[in-house]
Amino acid sequence: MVFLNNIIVRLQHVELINFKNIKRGTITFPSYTKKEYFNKKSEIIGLYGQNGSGKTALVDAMQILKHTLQGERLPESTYDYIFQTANSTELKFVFYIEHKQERYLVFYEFEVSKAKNLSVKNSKEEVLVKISKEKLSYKKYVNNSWKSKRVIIDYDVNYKDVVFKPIGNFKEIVANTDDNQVDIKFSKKWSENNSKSFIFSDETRKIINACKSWNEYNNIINCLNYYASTNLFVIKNNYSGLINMNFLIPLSFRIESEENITQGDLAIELLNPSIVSRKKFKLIVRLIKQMNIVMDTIIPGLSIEIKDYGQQMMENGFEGIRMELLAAREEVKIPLKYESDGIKKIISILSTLIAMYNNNSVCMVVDELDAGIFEYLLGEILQIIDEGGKGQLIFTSHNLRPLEKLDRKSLIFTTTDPKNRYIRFSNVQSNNNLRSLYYRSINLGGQNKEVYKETNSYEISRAFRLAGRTIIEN
Amino acid sequence: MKTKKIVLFIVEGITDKISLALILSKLITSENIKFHIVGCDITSSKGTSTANAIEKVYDQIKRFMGKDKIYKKRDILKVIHLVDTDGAYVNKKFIKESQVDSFIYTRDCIQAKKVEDVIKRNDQKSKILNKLSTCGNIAKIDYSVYYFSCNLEHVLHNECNMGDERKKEVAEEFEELYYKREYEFIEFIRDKSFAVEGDYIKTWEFIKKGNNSLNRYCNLHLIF
Repeated sequence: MVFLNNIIVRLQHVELINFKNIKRGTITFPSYTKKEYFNKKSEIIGLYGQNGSGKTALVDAMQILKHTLQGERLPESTYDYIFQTANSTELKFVFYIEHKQERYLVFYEFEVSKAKNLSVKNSKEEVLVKISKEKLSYKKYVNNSWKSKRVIIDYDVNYKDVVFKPIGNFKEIVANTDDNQVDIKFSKKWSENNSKSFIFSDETRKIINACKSWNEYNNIINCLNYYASTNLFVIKNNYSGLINMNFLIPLSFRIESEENITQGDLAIELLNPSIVSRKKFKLIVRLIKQMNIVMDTIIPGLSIEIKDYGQQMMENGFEGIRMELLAAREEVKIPLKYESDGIKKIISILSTLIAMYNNNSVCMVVDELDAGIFEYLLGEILQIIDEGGKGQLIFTSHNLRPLEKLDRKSLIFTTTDPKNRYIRFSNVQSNNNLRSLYYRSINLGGQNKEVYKETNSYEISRAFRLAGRTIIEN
Repeated sequence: MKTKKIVLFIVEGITDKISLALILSKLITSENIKFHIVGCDITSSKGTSTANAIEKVYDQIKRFMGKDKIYKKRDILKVIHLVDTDGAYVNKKFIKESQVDSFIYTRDCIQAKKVEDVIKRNDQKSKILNKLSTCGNIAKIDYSVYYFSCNLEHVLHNECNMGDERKKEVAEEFEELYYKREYEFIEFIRDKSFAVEGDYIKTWEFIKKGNNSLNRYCNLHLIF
């Protein structure tokens, strides 16, 4: 896997069809529009809109992408993401990949269908969704121009004679060894019955890996798989829920060392000291050390410390270390659980933010980035990432401060039209304050699409009075 | 796409807004209806004179724009200033001394502890109303003044000496009365018993005559 360290994967474009309350919505990174694809700088997309207008939908879609590319089973909640009156949802993505000397534009789209009545043999577990179609294709950059698009795998659960098209590609796989015909069919059934991607399932990848003529295809598939497992972070808001419950502090982290990159979520108990393995303890020590470098600059005087209570037996019988996180301000050290929710939130995402700031391939998707963070600080952090960062950041927010800090191209607004959910503002002059423009557009319109379903403040105040009366009567 | 324009209503207090804002916002949908509360009667407050009256109103328009910092002057289609007449145009002889806490309005006189106070107020108020009602625009924004005589409660509820708390109660009742049948408000405000006949200029000429500014009259129907 080490060879993959020097790959660059950058998300370019997302299209959602029949996903949650979106009939169609597209988000394009500015570099894709400019056909620049990758300019070694950070790219930020902030998504704005009124409550229930489809901001979190993008975050959910990215989570599903992550599951899919990792060959993981889609969560059951995916069923509820399919537009109510539709049977399936389509998600389309474009990536830019740099791998050694090669440059690719990779197109990956898949369809998730409701599959309520399908049940797995020998198992009572019901499968609610299946990935019914998948298509992976790419363009390659050769001699200063982009070659035409080639399809690697065009998969459809309903294809009869072949597992996937183009037939030429399928034959190459099948011809490789005698067993492949059987294996690939098994992989198809397996992924279908387990709500998994066919292309990115371990089973299919094993077959493809062994096929020499598929070297380039294989690289592309591995790059995307690696990207999803190591560089793509989706931080949903139920995360903050965990923080608010004062129970666990989830830490998203990514630590690079010479041998490998470790990424993932780590939950550390807040209420009581935790017992962790020696290996995990070492990781936490590194993580906290890395975080503290930044922590002191954004919350002056604050640092995180680890209280080591010494060795203790873990539940599994192995020896672990009993530890607790402390918040230290000058001489005063208190258990982290007593810190404010905002600070816990910052701690929980800081490691990923640091990774995204420093690494071109990291894409961080955060729902409600502003929750619990002081608006001035939020603005400063975004500006710092915008100016000096390297990775990609997609966030949703209700706080409008970022509108004053970020470029027009970084800001996308939801509309009231399910058929065209996401737009950028037009008619923006360079001296325009986008925050004011947004308020203007809410109040007075002026964009190609309506960005706010009208609420009448006079009606709201009437409703408040009325509701108050009901309470008194009761 | 073109932006919507704002029709800005300048009113004295919250009860004016409760009474009218929801109704008007439902009736006038081609524009964005905004209410700006001044918090006092510009036409009679200390420091307002005929010389600076227009400027004082413009200050309020600027205050409205400055609050959110999102609107520009060209966003405002017109400003509609709603005022109570408070008997400002009555002859001195109809102002009577009486042991009352504040000015009391009746069909044919204004009662006050000090007659002088009313005379002074009326002198200022009538001159300023004359100036504002005829000025036509303020800083190039279309501007007009519509009156409730002798005040809003008099026109809407046929009662002219209401305390503040009662004013709020009846304002809420009034809003409720027309909720989801706002168009009936147009019929109401055109009621022949108080809707003054004639155009804008004629209705202003009318209210200045005799005791009219003490009686139940209104020209707000002209905005429809």
